[in-house]
Amino acid sequence: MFKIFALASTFSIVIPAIMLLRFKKRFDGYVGLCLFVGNSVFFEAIGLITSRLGIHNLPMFHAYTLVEFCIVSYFLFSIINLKEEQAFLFVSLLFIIYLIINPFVWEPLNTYNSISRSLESILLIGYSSLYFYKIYQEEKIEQLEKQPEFWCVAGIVIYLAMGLFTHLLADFILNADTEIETLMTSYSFVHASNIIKNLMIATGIWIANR
Amino acid sequence: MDSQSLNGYVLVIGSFSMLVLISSFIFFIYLYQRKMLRKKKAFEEIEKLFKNQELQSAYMVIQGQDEERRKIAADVHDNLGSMIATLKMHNDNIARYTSVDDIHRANQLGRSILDSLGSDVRKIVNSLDSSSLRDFGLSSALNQLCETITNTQKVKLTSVVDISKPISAEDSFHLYRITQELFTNTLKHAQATEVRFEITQINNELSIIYEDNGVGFDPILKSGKSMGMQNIQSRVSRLQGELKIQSSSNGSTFIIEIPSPHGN
Repeated sequence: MFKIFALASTFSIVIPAIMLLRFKKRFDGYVGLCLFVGNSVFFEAIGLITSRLGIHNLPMFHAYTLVEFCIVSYFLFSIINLKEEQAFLFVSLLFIIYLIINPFVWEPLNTYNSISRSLESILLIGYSSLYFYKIYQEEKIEQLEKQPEFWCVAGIVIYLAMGLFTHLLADFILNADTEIETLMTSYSFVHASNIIKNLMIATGIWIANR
Repeated sequence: MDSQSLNGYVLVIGSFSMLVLISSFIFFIYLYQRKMLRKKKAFEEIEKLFKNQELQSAYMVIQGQDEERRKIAADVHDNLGSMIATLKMHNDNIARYTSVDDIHRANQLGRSILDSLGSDVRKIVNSLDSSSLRDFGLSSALNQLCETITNTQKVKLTSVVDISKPISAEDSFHLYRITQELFTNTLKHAQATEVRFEITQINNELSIIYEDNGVGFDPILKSGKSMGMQNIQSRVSRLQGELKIQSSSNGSTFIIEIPSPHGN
């Protein structure tokens, strides 16, 4: 059951990817979203292949964290009209530097980078919250459910928040003398949130394309 | 902690977190839509108030016109009517005169009656020309607008309307519309609690100072996109005036200076 769930999560990215390929109209975060979906497809494929071949793929998560952070930040900055953009760019730059030196100092390449993943999720959730705060304050959108960016950001936040929950537990679960069942349970939430995220992004693209 | 209970905790906390997350989004959408609905209702209320105010103004103008018509009718009846009757009688008498002197005197009297008639016609025409806008002019309309805004109880309004010299109907109309647009912007977008409005005329120069303590806006962005702002700017430039806008998160200030508005 867990395997089917994990496979469904892996392949769910195909839905927004196909929708983006058939996409005709553009919206504010279109380029950022294309990069995000493309990046997800690429790393899901690499993950699937390496796990089938039995290749140790933990180093991939370090690269994935860095690329994902850059792309999601770009996507969020492109849809939020920030007045204090430079301050946020500075924070992002500091975090990127941290992500680059992290494997050599704190979390080696052959370990799971739970700290940097957690920090990444916290930062991106913060940026996303800013998006929600802005739209709530500006009151420019008449019908929230017809806004493609809203669906995409909501999906990304659910994915990041559930990811954060798992990353925070990861050290504890991996270090404790736990059975594989516990590990699978905690990761099933990541899979569930990943499926929700992909479906919400697909909904956003569908709304934009109507 | 044994593995089974750890698994249980993970399951419960994970499920709960997911539930909280999804509920948060649904709650956010609900809160947002409720806010938008309130905003829409407030807009409708303001539109209704402005409409009522305009109707009231229109009613006052009609009342004024009726009064003016009655006055003109009375003038025509009392002055022109009696003079025409005298002229007719005088004309009938001329036919009976035989001497040249009598005819000459009668002719002079006829001329003087015709002069009086011409003078009265001019008086009535002048009175017609300067009727509605001067009687129910800018000061009265602006005071009435301020009263309407105060009655909305949406903002605390402090107003000064000090127009000493007469302003032409066209300029008055533009100044009234500019003021109305400023109030509309505040009520619709600024979320302000206090407004100060001053229109003063020193020598011939007319100045409007309008301040609110609302959330402010980006004047450069707004002047390009907002119909209301474009409307204000175009009217100010038509009056050959100058518009200055200062806006921050603590409020907005509009200063409009019209060097020489046209008089009546």
